[in-house]
Amino acid sequence: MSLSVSRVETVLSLQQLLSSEGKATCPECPVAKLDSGSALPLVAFSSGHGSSAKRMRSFGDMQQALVPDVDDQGSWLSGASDEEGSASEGRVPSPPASDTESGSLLDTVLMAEWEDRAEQGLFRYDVTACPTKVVPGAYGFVAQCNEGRGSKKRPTEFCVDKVLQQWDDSKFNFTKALQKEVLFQFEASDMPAKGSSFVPLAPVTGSPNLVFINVSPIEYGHVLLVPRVLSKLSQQVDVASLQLALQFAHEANNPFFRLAFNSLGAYGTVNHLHFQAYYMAAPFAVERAPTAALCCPLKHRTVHVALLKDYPVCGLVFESGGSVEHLASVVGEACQRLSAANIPHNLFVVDCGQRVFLFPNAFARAKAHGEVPSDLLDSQVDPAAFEISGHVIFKHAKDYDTASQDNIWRLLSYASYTEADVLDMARMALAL
Amino acid sequence: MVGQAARQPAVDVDLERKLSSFGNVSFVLASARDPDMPILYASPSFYELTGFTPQEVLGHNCRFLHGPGTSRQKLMEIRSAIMEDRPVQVCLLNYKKGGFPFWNQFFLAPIHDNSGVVEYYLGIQSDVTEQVESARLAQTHLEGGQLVASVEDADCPEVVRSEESAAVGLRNLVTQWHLVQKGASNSPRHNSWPGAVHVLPTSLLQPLMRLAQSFVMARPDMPDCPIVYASQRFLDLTGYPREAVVGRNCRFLQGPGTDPAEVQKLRDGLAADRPTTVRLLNYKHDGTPFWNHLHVSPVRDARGKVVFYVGVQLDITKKAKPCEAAAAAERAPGQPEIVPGEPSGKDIVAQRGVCGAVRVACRGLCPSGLRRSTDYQCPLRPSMDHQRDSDEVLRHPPASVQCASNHPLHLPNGINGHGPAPSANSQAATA
Repeated sequence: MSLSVSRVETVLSLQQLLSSEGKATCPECPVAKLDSGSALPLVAFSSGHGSSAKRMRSFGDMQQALVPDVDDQGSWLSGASDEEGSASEGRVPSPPASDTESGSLLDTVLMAEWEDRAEQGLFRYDVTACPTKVVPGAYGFVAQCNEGRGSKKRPTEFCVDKVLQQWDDSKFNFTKALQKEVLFQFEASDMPAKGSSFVPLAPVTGSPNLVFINVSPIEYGHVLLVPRVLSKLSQQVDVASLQLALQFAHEANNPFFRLAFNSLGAYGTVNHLHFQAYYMAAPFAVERAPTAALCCPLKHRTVHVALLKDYPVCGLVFESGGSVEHLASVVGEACQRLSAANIPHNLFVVDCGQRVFLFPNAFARAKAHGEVPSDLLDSQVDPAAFEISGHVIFKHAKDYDTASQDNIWRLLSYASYTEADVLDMARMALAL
Repeated sequence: MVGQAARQPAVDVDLERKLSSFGNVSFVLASARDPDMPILYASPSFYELTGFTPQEVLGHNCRFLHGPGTSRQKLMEIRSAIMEDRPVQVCLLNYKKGGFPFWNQFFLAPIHDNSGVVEYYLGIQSDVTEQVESARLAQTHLEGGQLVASVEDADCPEVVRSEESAAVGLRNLVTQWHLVQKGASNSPRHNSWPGAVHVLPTSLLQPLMRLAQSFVMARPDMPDCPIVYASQRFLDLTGYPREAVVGRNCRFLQGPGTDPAEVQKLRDGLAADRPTTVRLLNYKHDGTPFWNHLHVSPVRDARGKVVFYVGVQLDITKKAKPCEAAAAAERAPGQPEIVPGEPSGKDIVAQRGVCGAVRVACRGLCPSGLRRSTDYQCPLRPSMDHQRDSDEVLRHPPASVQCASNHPLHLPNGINGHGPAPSANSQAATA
């Protein structure tokens, strides 16, 4: 009765399908083996996107530039299946960003590739099966119970009291990760128009920016952005790498996609420059926190700087006036000065790369001084960027069950410097 | 390209007449259950205030008022309120036509229908530029050359109060009108929304409507796993009217040529909570067969429990070459001359991307999702204890932001409490 039944047995995975186009891939090889003959999926963004086209958002430009919105509640698809042409023709342009029906190509590719790796069983657990809830209270801290993560995480392999440390080839770094953990390359490209494009398999040239899965995810879509992976950069933010990270957040064009950075000494666990990002369809507590504007000299005019008020961890908030470059240069330079002064710090990026929180992190110091109460240490919650920002992963069910706004606040507060200290650091970091 | 584009949602002429006679208030009424929350009606004062024309306003999302100086935190507060199905008041910088900025004391309130689903959003605007500017001037004067300036929000209590009472009046007007209309007509008021069961929360419906692919969502915990949402593209692909889809099991797509072994494979995969891909010969409403490269995946909510199946269809039908057609015809005479093609990598990316987006939305937004309990739903305002010692770390939340009931946002009777509001939140609070 049925038609062509014999032909339906094989359904290829996405990775197989992309690999089957005849170019060289080696899923089981380490990233270090990438060479000029290798190929990986590529999401390319317009190199002109962040400069002339986006310098200041004029009103006419606004529909394209203004990303977070009252109803941008999810990620959405680009409607790619409607476009003319097929993947085999190579580069597929995404629809113009001004089309409100269209979403982000990067967003779609990232989720699709992540789904594919989940189906291949590359993750240590299904994070969407971990219970999560909002803790009662006006801040809306989000708690997750994740008993699998604690035991399965890559161990921290260096001393924690120094923010700047030499690259050590014997330690774990992302060139040792397998190529099947790479979702795609993320590169600037000379495109005539704004927007981004997807190439199912593109040759690897030089030292690419790669997006990896985090095999121990803390939420759906947890990825690591590793700038110039083969260049062996240590875990330190500079202007160029932060600009790439903000561009990544910008291209994802999804207000629920947040990006973070943890310096050494502030729970960065790998001394290889990387940013983390994932999706969570709820505001982080820190996004709700009241702020007070800081008066800053003219050079920061295009970037609005404020101080967090009434939040357990005192920090600075930077809001872009529309330019990724300006924001990256103000925040990137601040991070460099904090690193040079050996002050551990965390970055948290929201609103598609337009709003950045910077926290000097005092937890390791407080711990070393024996100031952190033992019940907090017992919970094994490390206050890194996502935790500080309001998403707390509990390794024990009992701590998850009893989580409250007060006890999360108390825990996080040990990562905080005093407001007076932070203002001093702000003067130094912003060169005021 | 998009099936719904031709039909712009609008309010009934009679309701429009009633709304237009409602005082001298700048407001818009937006549909919560059409894609992108389009404005259905804007008052004469709104056009006067903003300078935009009806063509630029009706059918569009209200975001055209935003601009470079609009605070991202304020937009987040609005977004958060919509996710929590609640009213919100924020003072934010908006832009008139031509890019002229003004401070807008904005009040957004949901209007529920009598089953508790958010049907409309009411947005009320007041130009408070004068108040804000004078408050800022005073503050700058006070702070002098200090590094820290203080709180940004200007207080316009009398404006807030008048917006609140206007909101109550408008809500009553709209709900009364619907009560009266109820008997007269049962026709759907929204003409561009895809198929969805009525109880699907608006905050989940909106992200689903963003996904420009053919997909359905079904509830495995209900008898026979009925479809609770079908995208516009699904309706376009299969030709079924929306009322013939929602509430039914998806097997209506099957027919005489559907391979039972593939269907069994799908059942087995789902029984094991596994994402599963099959190729099925399916049939459109008019009987036309098509090859469906179907991917179905279980989707979990915030508790980690499977609450939906999402099924994403890819039409991979291609015309058979003569030899294949002959072979097919031999085996099944009278069957159409089509064979399944291969999906492109891009097609698979789009298909899997839908699953990811649905997962994010469901984990955050479906009942028992990541929302604060109703007791705590309010924007945070700076606490009053600014005199506290800046040399000490705050080990507890400041008292003034702990208790939301002190907040002026709590509304006069009705707006919050109308109908059995779908309180997905009580669960989170007690969990």
